[in-house]
Amino acid sequence: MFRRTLALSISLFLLPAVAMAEELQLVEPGKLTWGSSPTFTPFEFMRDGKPMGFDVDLMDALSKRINLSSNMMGMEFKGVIPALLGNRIDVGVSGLYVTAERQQVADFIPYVIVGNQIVVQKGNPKHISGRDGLCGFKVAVPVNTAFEASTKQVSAECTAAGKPAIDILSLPGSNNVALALSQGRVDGALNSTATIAAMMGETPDVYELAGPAFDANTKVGIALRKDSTALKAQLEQALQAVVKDGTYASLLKKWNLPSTASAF
Amino acid sequence: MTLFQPATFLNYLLSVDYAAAAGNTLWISLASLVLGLCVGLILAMAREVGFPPLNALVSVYLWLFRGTPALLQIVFAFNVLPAFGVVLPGFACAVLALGLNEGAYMAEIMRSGIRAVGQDQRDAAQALGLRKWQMMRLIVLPQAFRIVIPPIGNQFIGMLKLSALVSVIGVHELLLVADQSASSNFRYLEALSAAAVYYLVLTNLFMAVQNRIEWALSPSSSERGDKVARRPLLSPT
Repeated sequence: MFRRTLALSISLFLLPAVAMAEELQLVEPGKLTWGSSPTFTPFEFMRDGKPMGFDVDLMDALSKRINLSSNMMGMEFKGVIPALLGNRIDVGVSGLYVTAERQQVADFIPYVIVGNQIVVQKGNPKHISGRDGLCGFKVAVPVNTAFEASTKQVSAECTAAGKPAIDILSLPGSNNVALALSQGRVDGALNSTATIAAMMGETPDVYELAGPAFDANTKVGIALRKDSTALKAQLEQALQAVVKDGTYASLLKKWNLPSTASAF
Repeated sequence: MTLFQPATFLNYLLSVDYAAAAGNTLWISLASLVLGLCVGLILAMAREVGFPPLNALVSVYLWLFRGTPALLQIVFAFNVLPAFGVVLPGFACAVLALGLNEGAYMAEIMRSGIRAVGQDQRDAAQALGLRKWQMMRLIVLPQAFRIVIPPIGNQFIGMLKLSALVSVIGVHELLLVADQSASSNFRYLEALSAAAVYYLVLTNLFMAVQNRIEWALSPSSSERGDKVARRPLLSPT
């Protein structure tokens, strides 16, 4: 009888811990598997065969906080949310803009704020004035991104105003967009302020900004399945801790993101 | 979220975007096929000439285009040619890469067709006093053409599906449009199923065309109106 009571009380005592460990159902035990497309400088990109960038460092820091190892799984950008929904990854972290469409299928933990901008070839050969001067031009965007959606919207505004639509070229990643623009295959590109800044930093004298930034309060977030509530709570806690101890601020600095990019 | 929404599927299937994309897929495949046929025919004829440097040139072509992935050739045409000052639109890059790639395979098919026309036929042509090019045009090629129709039909169906690769260079063909339409609502099952239906319809269409050509070229149909061949199956040659 006594033994039974003891066993019961021990198990009751252990229950919360066991429940918590069970709640975190990960794709690979002990690892936080995050899907990402390393084509989006400075958030994630490949250098010397290794993925790096703000997201990579942030996920390392967050994983450490919740005693998991960070396991990035590279994939095409358009495949990140489907992989998340198909239980192939635990979270999606690929400079994902928090959009209304994506929020219908996934939950987000916002961690950075960026804006959009137009970039053209050095010297602005087509004299594009910015977002509202894109009508009738060829514009490259990465496929299935918020940039593509945004460009489609601008194009719709063009046609509504009786101007020619934008000729949109949808390519796999932002790296392909940068190449298409430098080759003169397109007249301009729409991308995040941070990515354009990185493009111009890496290859000076190739690109030029056209017009001011817009949609300046766009949130970038970690995408989770809607039923991953336990993981979400733990990641949110870890993110707050990383912000508090100064890691977050140092990462913004390391990857040349302005202090206005802070989501906290 | 229900697994399959028939309304969404039908919506995609009947949308203008999908129909236009299917048109592009068909157009790319047809254009690449024609380019491939021309390249293949030229290469096969070049081999028939029997001039060693020409043979070597053909071999290098086959080695290059059969030895590298079609996807690499597409990306090469799109991303590397501009470095040499050739900036072709995505559509042209697609047709160029797929057509040249196809040409290498077509060359071998054509060669097998030409080789399959027996030496006796050539001897007979010579006996009739035909010149070499006349023999090729009037005796060998018409017979070879009939032989190569099934493998060419095969290649074409392969090409129809290979054309999905050009989605990576932003050409609005079926796969890219299916991918894009799913990006707003993440109904991948419906979007990709609708694209699959279009591919199947196109494939069927081509099999029907192939059958029709085979029927038209079969020896029995030269006697118009006859459904049953009057000739014996094994006619003495």
